[in-house]
Amino acid sequence: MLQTLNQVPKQVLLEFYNLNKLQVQYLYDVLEYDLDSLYRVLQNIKRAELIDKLIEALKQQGQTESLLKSMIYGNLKELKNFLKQRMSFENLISSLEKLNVEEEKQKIKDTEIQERPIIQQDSIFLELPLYVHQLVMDFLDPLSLHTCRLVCLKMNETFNNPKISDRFYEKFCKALFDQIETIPIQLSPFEKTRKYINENLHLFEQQLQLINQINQNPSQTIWNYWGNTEQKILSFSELTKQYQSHKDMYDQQLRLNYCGIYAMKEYYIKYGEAQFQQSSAPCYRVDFFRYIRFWRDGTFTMFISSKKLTKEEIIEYFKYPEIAVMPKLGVQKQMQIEESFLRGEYRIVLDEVYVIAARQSTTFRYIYKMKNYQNKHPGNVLLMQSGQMHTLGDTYRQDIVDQSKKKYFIYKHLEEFRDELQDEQYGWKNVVY
Amino acid sequence: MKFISQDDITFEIDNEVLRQCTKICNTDSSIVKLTSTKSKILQKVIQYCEMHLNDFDIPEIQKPIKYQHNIFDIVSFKDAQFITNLEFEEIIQIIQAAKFLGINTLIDLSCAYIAIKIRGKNSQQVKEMLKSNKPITDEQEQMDRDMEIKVKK
Repeated sequence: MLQTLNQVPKQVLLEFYNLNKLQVQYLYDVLEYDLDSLYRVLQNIKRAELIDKLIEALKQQGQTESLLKSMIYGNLKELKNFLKQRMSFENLISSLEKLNVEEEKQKIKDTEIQERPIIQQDSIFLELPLYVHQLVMDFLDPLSLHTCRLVCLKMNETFNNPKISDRFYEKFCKALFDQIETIPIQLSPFEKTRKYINENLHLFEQQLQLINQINQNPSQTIWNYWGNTEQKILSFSELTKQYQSHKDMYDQQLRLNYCGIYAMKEYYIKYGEAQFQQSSAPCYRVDFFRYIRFWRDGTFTMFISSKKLTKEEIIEYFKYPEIAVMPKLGVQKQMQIEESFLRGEYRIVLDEVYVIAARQSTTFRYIYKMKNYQNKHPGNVLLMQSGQMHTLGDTYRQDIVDQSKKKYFIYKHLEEFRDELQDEQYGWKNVVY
Repeated sequence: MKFISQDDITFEIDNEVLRQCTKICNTDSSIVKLTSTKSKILQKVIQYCEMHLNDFDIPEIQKPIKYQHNIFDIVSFKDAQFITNLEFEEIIQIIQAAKFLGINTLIDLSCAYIAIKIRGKNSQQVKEMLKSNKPITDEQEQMDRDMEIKVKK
């Protein structure tokens, strides 16, 4: 039998009680023979409550020494086996089993806080057969159907069955492709160029026709300069002939995404001056960012900034199609923001997007191509095909974009930009994806 | 016809009332045992059948429901009043009973009511709505944990 603490190895105390090294040394030095003072020390440890019950149970039978040995060696499982072999007290074993249950309950509580359950099995609605789920989903409009899909795995199961899910995808496709209508724009984005020309009439003395046209219809005259392109959007009935099922159409048909933002990082190289008697000149790489958002009206806005925008800033700038006014920042910063904005119009021709923008008397034209990058989401990438610049009253056009480099806009989805359109033809609220 | 519910309570019903029950009205047996439905819910199903004693055709509900419409716009007034007085868990149990008896109009009514409740809510709000008020036992907790581990693998 063990009689002193010195015979116990140090590592066992460290592992079993979670004691510090100092505490172990204290036990070794001071409490060589005293069981009472050991009892007091163990009370301050994390599992002091568990040890109390054990000691009380054993004190009734007057065998404290054997407990000491069993506590010190190894885990609780080994303790159980030890007791079964040597003493076999029924009361002690039952009390030990209670201890294990309490430990497990604590562990469960910890895990519940950390991890959220994936499947909700406690609701009766989910236990109903698929036939009922399908009936409920038939009554829903596409917006709430889309949220219904995100609730849990079991609700999503109905979308995996191709026979059932085809009618749900038909709803999505109708909402996306059947009614892309351009609502007339209230405040035209070319209002600033009209103002600029009217203020500086002496620059455009020889072109009276231009001044006349711009005052009547500014957007149409600028489109005429760049070759008047007409919109070609395939309607829902035309698309059904191309695809076998509605799911393929939903997954593959390219489209512009309105509920979010397209972003691109760009750079140019700036050459510095060479110093005295130095053969090579230094050069700097300057990074800047472009952000684009398309609107259902037919307008588009571009923001160019030298630093990366945070999510809150993006929501501030792109919440409305007009340029955001922030009275907190003051006049000078407001002017800077207005200068870095570019506003214009776009038209879709099959899978290409023609964009026209204007700043004072210079106009820009970009052509983007929609692509599906890595089959994630149709239209999640815009490839820049060409970009040209042109000043009003001139015939010369300048290329802006290097065609040797490939430049991509990547789509970022933002839930805050989701708009609801009320559709009277089908009688549901339409989602802007 | 005689119905015996889960609580061993018998209901005697005329054959005219059971015209709506498509699965049972043509059978010859006089006693039907419903082991899964309680007597409270059977009462309400019978109440619905008695309401439509004289209605030969009940009009179908439009799919999908328009966003301006309420439940009172879609169905008749007494149907809407019948279903709005029930609790959510009762409705689900009624669906199970109605499916067993084959009352298609009741299933449509209750599904439309659930759809109106789900409509226009977040996914998180729908989760909270579908939760039941029952306390969870220890065995169920274990089952949940085992399922989670399986799904993760």
